[in-house]
Amino acid sequence: MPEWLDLLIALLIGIGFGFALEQAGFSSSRKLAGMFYGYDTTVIKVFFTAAIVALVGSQFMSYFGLLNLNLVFVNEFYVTASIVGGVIMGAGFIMGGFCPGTGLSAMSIGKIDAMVFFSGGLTGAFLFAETYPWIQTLANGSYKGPVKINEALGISPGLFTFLLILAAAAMFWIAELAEKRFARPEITNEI
Amino acid sequence: MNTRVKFMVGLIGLGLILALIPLPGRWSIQAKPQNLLSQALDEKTYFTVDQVAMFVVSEDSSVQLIDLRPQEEFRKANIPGSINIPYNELLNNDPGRFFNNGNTKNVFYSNGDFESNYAFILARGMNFKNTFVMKGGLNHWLKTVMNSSFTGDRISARENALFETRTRAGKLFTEINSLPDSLKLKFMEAKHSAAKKLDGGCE
Amino acid sequence: MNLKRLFGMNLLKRYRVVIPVVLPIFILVLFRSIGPYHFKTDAKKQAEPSFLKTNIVSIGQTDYMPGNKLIINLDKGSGILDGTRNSVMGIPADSVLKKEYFRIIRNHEGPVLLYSSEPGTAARIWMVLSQMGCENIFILTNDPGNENPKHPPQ
Repeated sequence: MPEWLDLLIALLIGIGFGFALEQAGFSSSRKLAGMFYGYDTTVIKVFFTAAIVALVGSQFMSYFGLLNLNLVFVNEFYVTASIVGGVIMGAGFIMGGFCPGTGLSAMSIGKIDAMVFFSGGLTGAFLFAETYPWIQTLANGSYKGPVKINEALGISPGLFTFLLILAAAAMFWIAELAEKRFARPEITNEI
Repeated sequence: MNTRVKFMVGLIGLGLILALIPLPGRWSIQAKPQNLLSQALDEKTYFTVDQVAMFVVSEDSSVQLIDLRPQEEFRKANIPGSINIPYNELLNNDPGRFFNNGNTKNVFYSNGDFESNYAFILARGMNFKNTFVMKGGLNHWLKTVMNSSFTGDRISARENALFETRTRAGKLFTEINSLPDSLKLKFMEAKHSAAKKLDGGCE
Repeated sequence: MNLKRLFGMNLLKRYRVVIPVVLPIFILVLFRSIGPYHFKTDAKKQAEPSFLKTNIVSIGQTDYMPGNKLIINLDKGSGILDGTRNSVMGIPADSVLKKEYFRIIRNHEGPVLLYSSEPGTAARIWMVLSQMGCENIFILTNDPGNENPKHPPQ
């Protein structure tokens, strides 16, 4: 496949993704922050659903020989960096009300808080690059390679998919309960 | 009934089917059988020892030689520029780590013809189309390239070019393999990182 | 969540949207699983005899192999196999996956020995057939030490 076609497909997927995010209301920082306060759990429902649909689809496509999962990039796992980065990212998400993707989506419709959030993200990236020689050991610590969860658990990919779907169903049910428990109609009626 | 509930029931049903079927793992042949057989019988998937000698002499960075012999044999002598992945350990690593770069031609060799061709089928079966085999293996390289000699009064231009390539490759082979291990390692690492820089991308 | 409502009466009516999606996939999976003309999922397991080097047999060793041996000549013409006491069948390498030949190889009761004057060809065909689930197949060679170092490096 020529490279320009790869890039065109990436562009179209990106446009589709941004459109879907905006349509689902993920340009609103209050909706996103609602995930952590419990009054609006749309984020976890949408993203977890997307993950399990993609997982089921890719597993079936692999089974029927339509997709070679060996060619799909698997993130390399650094334990320390994942924990530290996850804490920083989680704190930033709650405080800022955006994650990188939704921040871009909100910025594209002119939200000022998203613009400030995004410039904060760029500042963080710049600081990471400039301080890399000092934090290199931390960043590269506890390297495990491109691990897949099912391989780490010693179960088949199919069984893992099924268990994840069950976990998702349980999570959605808990999310619905949380929304009733922590309802904030003064916010949810506005967004 | 609630659409979301129906959707989840459908997903659970599909998940149950997935749980019961044997899915391809990281080391699974994904190519279609007839397709893989055609590749197996394609003469273009072989490089001769003379072609490999030319790669070595010209330091062709688009070619990566992969030595499938055990580590001890690789340490004693190997074709300059090779990396070592013992055949027995080939499927212990993530195959994508070595074969995923479409710009590099990965050429397998072992002592003979068996292991290099097994590895070839496994790699091509996992849809890594940039894999090839050096025909005859290191035994053939040592017999042909290293023991190259000319007899007779006249030599054609073609024969001369071949003889020259073999001589230069043979010289390089002897020089590199006579280095102490530490220097040999540095030479190989330098070649490896130089090749990576050319390929680009993230580590 | 009301389980009685979920799995109660009129199951087909309730899931008339879900069933047309799940059922065809289930049928396709069934067809795929039953057929023999696809590769097994565990490449490592199928390739194991090659790691242990137990899949290579010399012509002299064939006399000591138990069972009804079938020798497959992957080349055109019988070459060095003339005069052997075993049954020899000529199947060109490009035809091994044709249904009639594949069935013979797969269902043969006894060792199946693949021979080619090109050891690389025999190795490749061996790996393809092993990955398709053919067991008890070997490479027949007149050079069993092919993978041993033969020339000392200078």
